[in-house]
Amino acid sequence: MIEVEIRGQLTAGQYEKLKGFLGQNGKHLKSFNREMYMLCDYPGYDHDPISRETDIRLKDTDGVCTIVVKKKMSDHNVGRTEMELKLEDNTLDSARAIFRALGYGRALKMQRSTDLYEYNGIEWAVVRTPKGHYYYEAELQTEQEGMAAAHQTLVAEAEKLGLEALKPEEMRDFLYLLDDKENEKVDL
Amino acid sequence: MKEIEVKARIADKAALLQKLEELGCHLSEPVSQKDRVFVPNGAPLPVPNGTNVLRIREQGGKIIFTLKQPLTNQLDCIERELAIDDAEAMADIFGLLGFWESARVNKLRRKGKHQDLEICVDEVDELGSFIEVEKLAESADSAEVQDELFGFLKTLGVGEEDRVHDGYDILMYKLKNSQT
Repeated sequence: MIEVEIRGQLTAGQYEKLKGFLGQNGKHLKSFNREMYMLCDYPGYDHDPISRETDIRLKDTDGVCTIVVKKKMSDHNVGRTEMELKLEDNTLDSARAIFRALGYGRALKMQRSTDLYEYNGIEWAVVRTPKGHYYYEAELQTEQEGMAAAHQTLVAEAEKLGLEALKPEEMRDFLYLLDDKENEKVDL
Repeated sequence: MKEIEVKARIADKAALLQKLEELGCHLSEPVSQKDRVFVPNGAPLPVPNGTNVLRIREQGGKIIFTLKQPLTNQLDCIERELAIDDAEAMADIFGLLGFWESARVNKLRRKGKHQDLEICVDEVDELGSFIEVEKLAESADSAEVQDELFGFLKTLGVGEEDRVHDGYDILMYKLKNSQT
């Protein structure tokens, strides 16, 4: 299955309003805090998130640690296959040491607080950063041939909620903004 | 700490087990280990020193991912381990990281201790019986330690002609390629 996703920036007010709406009209799935290391600066790494072929992430979600690899499946990185591997450890120390030994020396460290809902058959993540940036992600799982339709559905459903979906270039600018203001480049 | 080991084929298993018993080295019951070994795409086999080798081991209901970095030879490695929950997902991720599966090795392992040595007697599918002696060392001269370890094997009746310098994955790779 391929994960098709849109994302949109929110104001603090929109963030509260969207959480309130989804809480009342959808199903609250879970809330979690996540620390994540997205590996970067290795040979072949593309700084541009739109053209990057593969993302490798080490995630600590409230003590549940995973390795996640996302591979681009469409233009503009709208559709991606995702492989997630749960670790038995409840810290990322060993995983970081292994990836460091594999030659991945640098990473973007990110911290996010997320509330996850299901509404109209779509998974909605409402996300807050430590320094007060807010955004939503809406996601559908589909087969390769359903990617364009899934993307249209997501954009239409977001519009019904009064939300804008970032276009590819806007998405890139927003991710660069988060890299600049929120994320920290660290040694792995 | 790094793991330094020597390995040899066992010519007379009953005699060797008897000598280990006489030394007070009691071996455990056999444990099944199913290994899948991955090497970087395009790397020659055996991989040059310093090349990362990845392994997924299934043993006793647990799945362990191990990174091995051979230093001076295949039996002198830095190892790092991580317990995981899904061997197939890990194998898929290795593929995305640029590694391919070079060998599968299934064996029954019995383990014992003698002084500061760890001793493994292995029955490896398709390859036969082997003994490995292993020692953890900080930064000792690996060749010197390997000579010391093989000296111990000689006291068990192992001859120089039985010594094996390849890991099981390479032995298996060579066996498969000699058959094709």
